[in-house]
Amino acid sequence: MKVLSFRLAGRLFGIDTRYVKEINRNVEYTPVPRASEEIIGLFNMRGQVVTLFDLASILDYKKDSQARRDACIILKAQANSPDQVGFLIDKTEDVIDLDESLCEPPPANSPQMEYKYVKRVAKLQGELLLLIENEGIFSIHS
Amino acid sequence: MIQNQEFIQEFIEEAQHHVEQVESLLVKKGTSLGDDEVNKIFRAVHSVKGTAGFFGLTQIVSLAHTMENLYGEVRCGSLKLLDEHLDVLLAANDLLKDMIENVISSEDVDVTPMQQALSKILECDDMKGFRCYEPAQNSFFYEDLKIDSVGVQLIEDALRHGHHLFRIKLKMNDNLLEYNEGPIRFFNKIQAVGMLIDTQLDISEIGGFEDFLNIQSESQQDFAMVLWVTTVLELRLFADAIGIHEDLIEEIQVEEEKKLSDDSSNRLLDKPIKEVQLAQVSESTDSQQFDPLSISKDTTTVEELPGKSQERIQMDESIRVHVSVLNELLNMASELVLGRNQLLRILETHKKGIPGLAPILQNIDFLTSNIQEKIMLTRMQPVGNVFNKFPRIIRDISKSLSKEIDLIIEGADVELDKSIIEGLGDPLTHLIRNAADHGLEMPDIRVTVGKSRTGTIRLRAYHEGGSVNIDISDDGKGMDTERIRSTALEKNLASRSELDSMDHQAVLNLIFKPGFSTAEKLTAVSGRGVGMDVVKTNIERLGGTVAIFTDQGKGTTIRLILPLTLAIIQSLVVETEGHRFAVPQVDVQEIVKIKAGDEQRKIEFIHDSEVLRLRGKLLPIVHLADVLGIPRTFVHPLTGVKGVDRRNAFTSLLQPEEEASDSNRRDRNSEVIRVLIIRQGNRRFGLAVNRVLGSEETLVKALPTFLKDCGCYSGVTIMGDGKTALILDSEGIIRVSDLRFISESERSLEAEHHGEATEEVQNLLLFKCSGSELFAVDLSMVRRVDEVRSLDLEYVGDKLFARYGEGSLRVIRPENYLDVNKSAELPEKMYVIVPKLVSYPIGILVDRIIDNVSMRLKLNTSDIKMSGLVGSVIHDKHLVLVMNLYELFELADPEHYSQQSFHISDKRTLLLVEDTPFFQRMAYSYLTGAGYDVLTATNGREALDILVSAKVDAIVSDIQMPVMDGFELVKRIRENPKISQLPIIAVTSMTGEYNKKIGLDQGFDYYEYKLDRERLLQVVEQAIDKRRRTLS
Repeated sequence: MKVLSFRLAGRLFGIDTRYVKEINRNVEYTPVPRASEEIIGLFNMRGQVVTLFDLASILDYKKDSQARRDACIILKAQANSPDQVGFLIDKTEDVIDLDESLCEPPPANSPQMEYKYVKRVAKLQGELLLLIENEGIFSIHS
Repeated sequence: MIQNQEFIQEFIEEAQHHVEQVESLLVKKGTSLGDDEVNKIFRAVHSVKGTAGFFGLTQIVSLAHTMENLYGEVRCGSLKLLDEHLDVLLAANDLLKDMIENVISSEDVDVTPMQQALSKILECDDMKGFRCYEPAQNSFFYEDLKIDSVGVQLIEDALRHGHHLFRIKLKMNDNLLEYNEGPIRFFNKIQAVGMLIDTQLDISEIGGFEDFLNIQSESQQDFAMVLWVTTVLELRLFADAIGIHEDLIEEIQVEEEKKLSDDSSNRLLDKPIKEVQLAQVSESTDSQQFDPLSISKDTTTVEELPGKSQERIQMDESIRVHVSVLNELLNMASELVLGRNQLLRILETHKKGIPGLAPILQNIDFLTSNIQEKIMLTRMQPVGNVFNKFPRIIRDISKSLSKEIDLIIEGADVELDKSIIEGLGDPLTHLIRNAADHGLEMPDIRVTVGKSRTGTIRLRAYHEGGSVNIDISDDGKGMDTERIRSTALEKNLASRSELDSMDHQAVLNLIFKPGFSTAEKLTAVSGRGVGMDVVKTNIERLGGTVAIFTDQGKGTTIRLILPLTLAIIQSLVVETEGHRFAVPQVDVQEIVKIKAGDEQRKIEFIHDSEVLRLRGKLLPIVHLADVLGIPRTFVHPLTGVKGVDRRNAFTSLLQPEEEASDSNRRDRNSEVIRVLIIRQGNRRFGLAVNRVLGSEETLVKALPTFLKDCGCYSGVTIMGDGKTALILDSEGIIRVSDLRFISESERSLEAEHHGEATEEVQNLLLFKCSGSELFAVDLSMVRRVDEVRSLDLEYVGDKLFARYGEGSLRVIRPENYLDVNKSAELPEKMYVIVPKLVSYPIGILVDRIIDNVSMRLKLNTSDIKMSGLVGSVIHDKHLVLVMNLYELFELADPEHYSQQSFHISDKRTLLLVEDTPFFQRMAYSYLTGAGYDVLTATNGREALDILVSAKVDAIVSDIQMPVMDGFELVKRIRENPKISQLPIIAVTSMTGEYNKKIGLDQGFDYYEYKLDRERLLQVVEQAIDKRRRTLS
């Protein structure tokens, strides 16, 4: 499995590259007043409107959710959904070839939101990588 | 596989068209189908059968075949359709339609019950002794060819008309799928030159439709199909015409031909005379309608020109394009518009620096708009596409309700964007059903109230302003506001006190509340759990609005007001607290600038609600920042520090004297806010924003589903600088900020609209002639602007003409008639402004079009006076000379434009009431030019004062005026017995039938459009003439 790894709030995350459409830096997004707090804003990706989510806020990293970020990962549009979705991260790291045998479910004492959206944890050398799944995570939960 | 599916899609579209045609003919004509119509139906069903056969859709073929048989009998007159047959035929047609729409599962449908029902019609027919399509006696020849009886009949007919019979053998993969236009178009080509009798698919090699789907060009599997075609063309020409190789076509000599026709004529001789006549009828229709010869007449060259005649066959001047391609094109065009906006913005400052840049930009600007417009046009479809299904629905409803209903459809050719057309079906169906069910009374009741037994429902589409209106009217009992009140109370939709304060219109609007239904009993027809609220939501989703007009006892009209297209709207870009938003321009009535310290215009408080006094009325003010939950900020007047504006937080605690100090604080503040006056239907409110950035053509993109819950956005747009901005939804803002409107009636709103200082905004076209002066004409007098090259200009005598395709137009260079700078030389490229509202058009030839501006005209008529000019205005620090086209034309073409024709012998005095100086001056010049004495007033009050002392023969009045508007003026005059008979002519910029009706209802004798000189003079003359006659 090829995984795009990235940093957010000091932690190392990964997402299956199959879900990823592209990576953008220096996005200029437009905040949306009244939108739920998981949504950071909208931005124009070559004529397409992308809704940007705040992954830090979704995972309930309270003190990091207000931080100004300008790198983002845009996901491939899901079937039957007209919406383009992306989320802000601190920075991208390498694409790694992940051996599935290194993965296991998140430990029982993970924080609630992490437990909900991080389906697997990969035991890399020297660091743990939290693998997020595309499904269900980027939508409004409130 | 995909390609096959595309072909199937084509089949579905084509077949749908056919069954819809059958349905509409059946419904429209019922049992009185003429020969032409029967033929059309027969042919439509036959085509469905033929093409379905090609796809191996055996069930569709089988059903279509039975139907075709029956129509065949009707066609030759041996079966007379009765009312009860129609239901069966419609049901069969519905089944066929269903099967076509769900083509994949159509093979599982059992069509035998329907076939039996159809055969019953044939059996119980009293003329069953004779069948037109009885298998021919010498049929073994055809049996050999596996052609069915209908086919035989068709072939025989065709052969009698000198056709050839061809058999085309094709291999699906090798020939047909390779055929690059697809099978459906191939069939169409055949139909254009001949007639497709039958398609036979050798499905022994494959299993049927399933396999057809799976055939791939690479696979070995292939199957043969046989097409039977009759045509007048020779083999070689026919092969050329349909574009396949001769070897695949074989001419079949029907040896029995002679015998067969002898037989049939013998047989006819044996029959009673009645049947002979029938046979003649069928023959004559054959030659008129069904004969492919008449079709090929349109393509006359085919027969005369040997050789490569394929290209000469004139197919329809249209091609099929997949909607997805159009959508992509539309998207790209919209992007192009954005790109152009960005380009223009960036290059604006370099326009002077780079030589030649300006015209290129202008050209690109122009082309881009044109491209976008044309692409929008490709998506336009006639509303007839949705209207067509209503005759059928009305027929069904009238049966089930036992009401007699006439449906009148008007304006079916009015076009709307495809997406809007698609969204209209359900709301319209609901409204039509409602009108039939709740609106129209039972026939007996209608008779007792003095109406005709048959109720009428009118479905009418028409253009008004920039939108399309669809009216659904009935002449039924109208809406009972008392009943609406009691129902609303019953269902807890409004409290008694709320109801008491509601006026007529507000009560009517209650029916849009969820959960409202006034029918005494729910019926199967309209009581289906969806109400008017769903209609309203659906229409609003399309960007439209719904209005109700009802007259108790006389009927109800529901009006849907729809935008022409969805994708691009004109918006106002506003900013509040650093956020940019777009507000659809149609919602914005005006913009009010409020300066702190201005006693004339200030925001006042009722408790903690802010209101604005606008022309004597209170308007609720909503701060956009509050709606969106953004903290409001202000810049502290002394320290210059930006802080949170806490004013709202403590106004609720304020005592009146403290309130004064609050406004003092704000007095010192140099803050300016702008209030957009938003109008949504009958409701108005002020939306306060920090800044208005300008107006832009914005492309509307769908709002991401994640943001639907915000409730106050209707879409997203991409601005000129590439950033996104949200489009505000006025309706949503009303909801979110919980504005409770006691809606005012249209009329009072109109009246209030003409308060003080209503300077009308004018649109001017700015241009330059050969000199340095800047000129302008009022855009409402411009029909269009064309580009011309000096090569296209020619002198005839001393007059200059521009060639336009076949015709020509006299053009003048205005500088030749005005005392301004000029040069005699003609630049290579020029522009012609073609005027409207004139009977002898003369084009104005100008060197450069500068701009198109909207401004409140402060006309200076004293500084520059010359004939041909109205006066001057200052725009953007430049002096602009406003042309008086009529005067100019008079100078240029005295023959047609001399005012002689309007000259009147005895002096008449008119009173001209008009507040806008420009219009006043124009009208004054028209009227005095025609020899009238003209008194002027700038509002109704002044006019009444003048009428006290002066004697006038007629009044020409504007409607929108300060102090006293035209409506009030008319009312006062009509009330005063001394002057009540005066003819009063309204001249206004409020066009449209609706406004006109209001005007005439209010007591104006005539209602005319501003600036149309000839109309005005004619009407004035008419009015005075009429008066003179009544007096004498």
